[in-house]
Amino acid sequence: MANLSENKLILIFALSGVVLSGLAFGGVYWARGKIDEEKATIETLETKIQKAAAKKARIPKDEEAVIVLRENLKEYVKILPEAAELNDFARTVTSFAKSSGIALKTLTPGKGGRSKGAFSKFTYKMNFSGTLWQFMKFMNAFESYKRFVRVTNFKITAGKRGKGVLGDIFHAYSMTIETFVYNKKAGKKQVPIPDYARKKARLREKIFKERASINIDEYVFKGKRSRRDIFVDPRPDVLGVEGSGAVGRLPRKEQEEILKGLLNQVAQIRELKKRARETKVVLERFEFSRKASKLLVKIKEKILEVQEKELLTDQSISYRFQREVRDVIDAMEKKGKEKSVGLTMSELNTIRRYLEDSLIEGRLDDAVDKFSEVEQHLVFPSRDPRKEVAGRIQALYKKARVGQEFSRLKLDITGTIVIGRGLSTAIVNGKTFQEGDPLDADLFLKKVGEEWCEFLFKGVAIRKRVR
Amino acid sequence: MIKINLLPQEYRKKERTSFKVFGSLLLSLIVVCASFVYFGHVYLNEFKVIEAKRISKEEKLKNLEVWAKRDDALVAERKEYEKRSKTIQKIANSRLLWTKTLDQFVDITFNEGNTERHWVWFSNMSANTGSGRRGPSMTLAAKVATGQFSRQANYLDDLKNDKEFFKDFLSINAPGGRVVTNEKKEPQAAISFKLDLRMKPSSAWSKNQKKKK
Repeated sequence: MANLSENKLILIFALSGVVLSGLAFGGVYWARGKIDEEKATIETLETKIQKAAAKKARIPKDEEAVIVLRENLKEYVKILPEAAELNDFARTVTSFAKSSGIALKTLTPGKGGRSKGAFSKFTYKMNFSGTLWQFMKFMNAFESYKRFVRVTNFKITAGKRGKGVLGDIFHAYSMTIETFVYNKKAGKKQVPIPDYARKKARLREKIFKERASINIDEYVFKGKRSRRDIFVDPRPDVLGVEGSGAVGRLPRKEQEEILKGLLNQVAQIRELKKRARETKVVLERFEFSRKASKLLVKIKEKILEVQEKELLTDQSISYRFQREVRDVIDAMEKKGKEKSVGLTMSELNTIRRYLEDSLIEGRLDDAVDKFSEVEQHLVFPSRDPRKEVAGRIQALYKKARVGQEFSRLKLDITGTIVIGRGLSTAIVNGKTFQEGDPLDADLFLKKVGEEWCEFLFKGVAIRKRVR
Repeated sequence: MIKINLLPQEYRKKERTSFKVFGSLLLSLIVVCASFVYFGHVYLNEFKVIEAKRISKEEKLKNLEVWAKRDDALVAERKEYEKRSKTIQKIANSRLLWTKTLDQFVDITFNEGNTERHWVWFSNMSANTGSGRRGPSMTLAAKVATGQFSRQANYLDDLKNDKEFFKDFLSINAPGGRVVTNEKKEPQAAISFKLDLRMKPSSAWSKNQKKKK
């Protein structure tokens, strides 16, 4: 060093200074670069944090949405059959076939049912034969089944009438039905939601509000209703034999007469029912109702005869018979059954008073007749206050019936001996009986007065005057 | 010229570092030190601070990501359940009650027993529910009694004009066919024709339209 000249030393120091400073600035440059990198990373992180924080904030809302959907889906899928029910489906098809009357020939399960998705489709193809109405009833059974089943396609091939064969013609059918089974475990696992039950209870209203109405439409098939089978050539044969098979049918005029008679009876029943509705006199009302009921029984017998003997074969007459007679009578009967529980308290009290008066005045037959008119209207639920009055009416009727039976007994009272402190005696049918003596298995002498005797007959006390 | 110092070592004038050398050394040192101090400041004060900030952010993100993943799973489940709900609704709403359709069809064809307007019967029928945008369809091999095409037109009119029956139908084929005769029947002549009825896709059915409102 000592040998180095001053200038060289200065140069060395300057160079060293530059190199070392350079290193330091290099370090600064590197650090700045790192700082920039960190800043960029932080910026990215902040964006991610923001997003994550937003997601975290969304959790309660998303949890709510999931709960609502889970609960509603649980309801929706109730329309679908359970996997276990599906195993029983063949039995269901058989029972539908039996109740509709079709003859099932083949039942083939289709491919499918192994889907990994949430819904697995199951199909069944079947071949069968039957009348058009049986087919429609069979198809309707699937369409009104408690679980969702749909008919995807069907074919009808019209059958032909054999010689001398009466009634509806059998056609050949093929039909495919399909249904779906919900696979709850399909897809990802459910996200566990803490305190699920409480949250579900809190969201009850929202769950109900957001539930889409999944109504499975249903249709009630009402049968043939006097319509012709549209898969049968309806034209009559040239020889005069009706294509529909009714050999030896009544002439149209006679069929018209039958229908006219039935329509008259329907009109009469309607009139009687109308008068029964309009009158304010309760007893008159029952009288009209009784007459209408009698006529109803009569017309039902006639309807049965018309059907059994196939008296109305003309298409339009048969159709009118169905619509204007059968349907009307069925509706009346249905309405009558619904109304049979509808006697009011005041009506019941009127009847009770009538029966009491009849019994006091000895008009036993009137009491029994009146009761038979209202008997079907005396059924009430156990908590209904009218039940008590109805019970009283029934008790009065029982007394009237016993009274009728008693009046048929031959009891000739010829004299009485009344003893103040002992048992009094009466002479009945020439024999003497004391109070408490049995006259027959159900008949006892209960009490003896100077001009009367009181008997106990089948649990009812009845007083009879001395002749 | 050569100068020779003849004085003994101990008497010789001491050699001192020149100011220039010392100055340059000092300057270099100051510059170097300042540089390293600056580096230290940048590294320790700025870089380390920002690094710590990054680590803390990473930690925060790590904590939040657990929740974010939970939310992602919930969103995925919500989408899946929405899809399932739509599927089941679609399944339920796309069912055609064939019994009802066929019952109405029988009513129109029977025409309350009135054979004057039309008198139609069929020898076969095939029906299917269609798929996707293709709605259900019914195809029938039909015959209408008497050779008058006006009766066939009457029948087609009755089908079209029955609002309850035809509301979800899209098209019906035009009248036409050929006259066939059967000598054993009265009337002998009948028009044989193919009846082709096409329905709208289930999404356009009136019951589904009402629900949308």
